[in-house]
Amino acid sequence: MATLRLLCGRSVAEVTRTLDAIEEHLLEAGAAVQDAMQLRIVAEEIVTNIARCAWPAGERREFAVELTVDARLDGLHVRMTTVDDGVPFDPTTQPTPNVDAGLDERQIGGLGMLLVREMTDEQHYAREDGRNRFSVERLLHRATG
Amino acid sequence: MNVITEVKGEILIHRISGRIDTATSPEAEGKLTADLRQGRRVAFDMSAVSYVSSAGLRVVLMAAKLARANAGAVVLFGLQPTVREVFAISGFDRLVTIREDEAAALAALGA
Repeated sequence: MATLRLLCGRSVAEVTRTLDAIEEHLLEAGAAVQDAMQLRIVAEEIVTNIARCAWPAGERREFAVELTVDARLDGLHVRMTTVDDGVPFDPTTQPTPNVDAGLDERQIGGLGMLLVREMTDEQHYAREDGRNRFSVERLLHRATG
Repeated sequence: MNVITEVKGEILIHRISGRIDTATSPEAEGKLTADLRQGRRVAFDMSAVSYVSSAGLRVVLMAAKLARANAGAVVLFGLQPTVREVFAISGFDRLVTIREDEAAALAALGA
């Protein structure tokens, strides 16, 4: 099992640095390019949301990001976890945007979490010791043949 | 991300390359929506776009709304697999006009 642990700040540069590290870690662990890219999208949605919304604007803060990749017979088991001490926020209970809405009705909100839900197998949230703990899991199947 | 613009008669083709994400979406918005505010007919060549996150979808939504508001038009073509999936999951493939290739996109714009 290969684990990446890092602290991420709130700036775009910090977020990009974190996402680059995640994508690189996945590729080094043997993930296909498309899968690593999909999981980077997932990570971007989660990490950007925390960086922007977990604390009042202007406060310098950091949060923990952990990525584990476990190579098993059926493929690569990936788990991504974020821990932050910002405002209580449960991504699993956010309303889904109406994907059938027309152009005039369509809003921006909720798109990120929709992508997270659809691109991962499981999502778990807990509020513990004044911290949000959110993890997502995805099994990257081995290519056959 | 990078944008190179070609003029084909009345139509503009923005050839986009790279990623449209949190870091690059402000630049993407600036380069891709200005013409639509003028009511132009615009094609986005997405064949060299490897990655679109929700930040990128926001830019596309803005482009579509601006096109409608200003009597212009925008068509996307050449979406790569990962990008195509993001559009499908979010329902954006039903929200904006998407075509397989440049010829079909230009036809959709009434070239």
